[in-house]
Amino acid sequence: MKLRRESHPLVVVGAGPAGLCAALEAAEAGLPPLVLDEGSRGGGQLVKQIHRFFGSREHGAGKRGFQIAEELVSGCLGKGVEIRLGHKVLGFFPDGRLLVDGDEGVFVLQPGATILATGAVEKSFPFPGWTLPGVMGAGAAQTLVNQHRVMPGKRALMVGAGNVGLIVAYQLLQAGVEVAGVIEVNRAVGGYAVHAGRLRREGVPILLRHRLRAAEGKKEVESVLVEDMERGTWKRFSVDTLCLAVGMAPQAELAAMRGCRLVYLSELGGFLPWHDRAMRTDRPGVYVAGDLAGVEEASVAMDEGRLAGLAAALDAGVLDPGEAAERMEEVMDRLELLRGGPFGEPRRKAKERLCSMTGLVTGGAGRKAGIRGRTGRR
Amino acid sequence: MGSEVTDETNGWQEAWEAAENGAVAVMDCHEEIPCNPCQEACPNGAIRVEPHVCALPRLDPGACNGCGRCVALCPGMAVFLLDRRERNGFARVTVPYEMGGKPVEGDVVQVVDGEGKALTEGKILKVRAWGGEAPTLLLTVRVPEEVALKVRGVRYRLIELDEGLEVENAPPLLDYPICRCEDVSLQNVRETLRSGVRSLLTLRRATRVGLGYCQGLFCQSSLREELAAAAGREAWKMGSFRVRPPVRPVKLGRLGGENA
Amino acid sequence: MKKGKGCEGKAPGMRVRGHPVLGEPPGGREITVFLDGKPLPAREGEPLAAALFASGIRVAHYAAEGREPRGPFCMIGRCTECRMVLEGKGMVLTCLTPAEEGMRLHTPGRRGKP
Ligand SMILES: Cc1cc2nc3c(=O)[nH]c(=O)nc-3n(C[C@H](O)[C@H](O)[C@H](O)COP(=O)(O)OP(=O)(O)OC[C@H]3O[C@@H](n4cnc5c(N)ncnc54)[C@H](O)[C@@H]3O)c2cc1C
Ligand code: SF4
Ligand code: SF4
Ligand code: FES
Repeated sequence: MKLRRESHPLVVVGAGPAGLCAALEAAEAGLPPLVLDEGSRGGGQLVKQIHRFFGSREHGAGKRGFQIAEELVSGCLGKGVEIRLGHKVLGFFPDGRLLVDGDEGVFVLQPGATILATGAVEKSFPFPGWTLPGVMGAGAAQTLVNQHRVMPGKRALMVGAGNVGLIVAYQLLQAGVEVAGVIEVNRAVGGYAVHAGRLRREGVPILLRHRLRAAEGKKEVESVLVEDMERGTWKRFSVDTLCLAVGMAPQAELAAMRGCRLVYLSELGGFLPWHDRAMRTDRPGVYVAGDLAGVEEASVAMDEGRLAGLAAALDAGVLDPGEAAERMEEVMDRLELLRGGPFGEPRRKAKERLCSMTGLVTGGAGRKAGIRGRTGRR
Repeated sequence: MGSEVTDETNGWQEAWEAAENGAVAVMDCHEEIPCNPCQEACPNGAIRVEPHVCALPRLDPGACNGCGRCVALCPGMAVFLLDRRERNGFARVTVPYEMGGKPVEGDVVQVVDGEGKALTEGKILKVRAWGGEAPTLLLTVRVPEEVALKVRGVRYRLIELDEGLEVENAPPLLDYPICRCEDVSLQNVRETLRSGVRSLLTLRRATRVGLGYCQGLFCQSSLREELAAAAGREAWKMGSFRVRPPVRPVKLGRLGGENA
Repeated sequence: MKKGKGCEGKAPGMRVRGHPVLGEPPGGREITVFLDGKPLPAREGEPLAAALFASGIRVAHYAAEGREPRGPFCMIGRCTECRMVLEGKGMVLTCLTPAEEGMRLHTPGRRGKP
């Protein structure tokens, strides 16, 4: 049987903050896109977030993640953007076509241009006992308590004191799961002090220089072994749930399949598609934004999405170059400020290194610019 | 003055003094993070996050009327209200609250410091809610003045502190699967590497790692690290599995055009 | 049921009740599915994996000839550790499959069982 075909002038993959802001911006410029997302609700990561967000007014700061998601979705719908949920993009071929699985069946989509905003995936690592039921990503635990409203277990230990670990630990408490502690191999909390503070005042210890050694149990997790790296001793915590919050990596499979050049930048989560300041990749008509273009924050994802939407509209010839330049300048300035401060600085520098090379330079020139690169195409 | 003022840089000293005349905000936010909802929240322009979004918030206690909006809207839950009007050795502290227990006025609760240690018991004088459709509660408790600036929250939950049980002898490191989908053990991978395998692809052919449903999503970076350790190179240089469609599990029939 | 204070008085089972931000969960219809022949309560439309967690069941299948119990790891359809056999459908990812009245689930790979 032949697959159905469809075409659209602009397709956005991913309805997270990056994809939705890209869609909004493109629609305002007169190029309303088709947005595809495999989730059942629009908003990406924001759907699961019940805490109030950082950032400033342009990013909905002070509101809860799921509220920002709702606003972005209704904003898009009001501007004539079509959002198709429950649609998985299965492939992105070098000729630019997308393979999509939706409620109408699997079909081939021929986009004029494509904005990839597929976000990031949680990292994990193997250790003794990591396959026991009860060991899960922090994201899984968060999905369970905030979206499905069930508890993953009665008492949990969190691995990783970055923002995700701190926030999810707090949200487990809110749902009624006890949290024995947050362990962290480093000497300092990686996340914001205010997030650590919220958790500490609930009586949850944050144990620095503690390394996860094993999850133990016959059929499920019954306890967790942890090494106190300062004292060289081992401790056993009685918990039935172990959550891993050890970082996120850009979800770059589709970009790689399309042949976009990938570069490795540890500050931004690992391999990510090369892109310029306006979020264009080295493949014509392919743009990236958000966590896919480097794991940062929702506020950054929104502004990168805006840039990608503007660039796509500009390249499609529907936006006046002068107007586009003015808008882009404004958003770029704001991005620069969002990446100020001690937390944003390493990311700002990594992005600068990334954008300072042109898309088609060879490996040698890239190395000179401090870029570790390889192409996704083989 | 009863209490030590620990951080003068963020206006605590002034806030402490201003609190003699009524509630005033105290900011416990000392890192340059991209955040300014406190400034947006204030109807009186008493908080400034300037010159840019990562700057530290500054409070002008003279302009603050203690309305509590910033307390509710701060994502870090890092703003409190202090009210020393009583002037009889007690102060009223207002904290943001988003935990369980359904607080009501009159409840006597544990008042805790930044480490979650109980400072005292306090009576909840006032419960307010602010901040849109899923509001944050503002709980006002009455506490001895000398602990007022240390108050960071109230607690309804019973907590079981568990420092972990010391384990005498470190148990031996067991073997475990490095690839969950195909059940390939770490030892199996290491043996294969000892036989001279130096690329992800050969490793996959030899052991079946990365051939499972997840397309190497969960094992790839650890495999890269094992390879790098064996080859004495950096992990990111060890390549990646090539991605093939479909990138999500899908029933084969659907790819043939069926919709079931 | 009356809400208690804090941890005590929490309703039995692993459902989140009286959430301080989200309130009570949206009430899906109470239905029954079957796990290895035994009835299991579920809310219509929730993922099967969530219904299992709600009853404290976290083993989805057994790997390595029945030696290794496995359970949901990602809850977003990526790790496939939540896979179980659903009668009439074959192997499904329970974290993505909505519960329907009367569904019959089986734990694959249990020792002594096929
Ligand atoms: C626990 C936690 C707390 C956070 N807290 C904050 C905070 O307080 N402030 C802040 O600024 N940021 C926060 N963040 C970060 C923020 O959520 C992310 O930076 C932001 O969501 C990234 O947006 P995005 O649009 O790039 O990706 P996402 O939000 O991840 O969206 C990507 C979307 O793409 C879809 N998708 C991916 N692949 C496919 C495919 N093949 N087919 C179809 N659809 C696909 C996904 O379903 C998803 O909806 C937090 C993150 C986490 C995990
Ligand atoms: S308490 Fe009210 S007036 Fe005072 S700083 Fe906060 S928002 Fe402004
Ligand atoms: S809103 Fe809170 S965390 Fe953000 S700058 Fe203001 S005081 Fe700090
Ligand atoms: S839990 Fe990972 S696929 Fe279902």
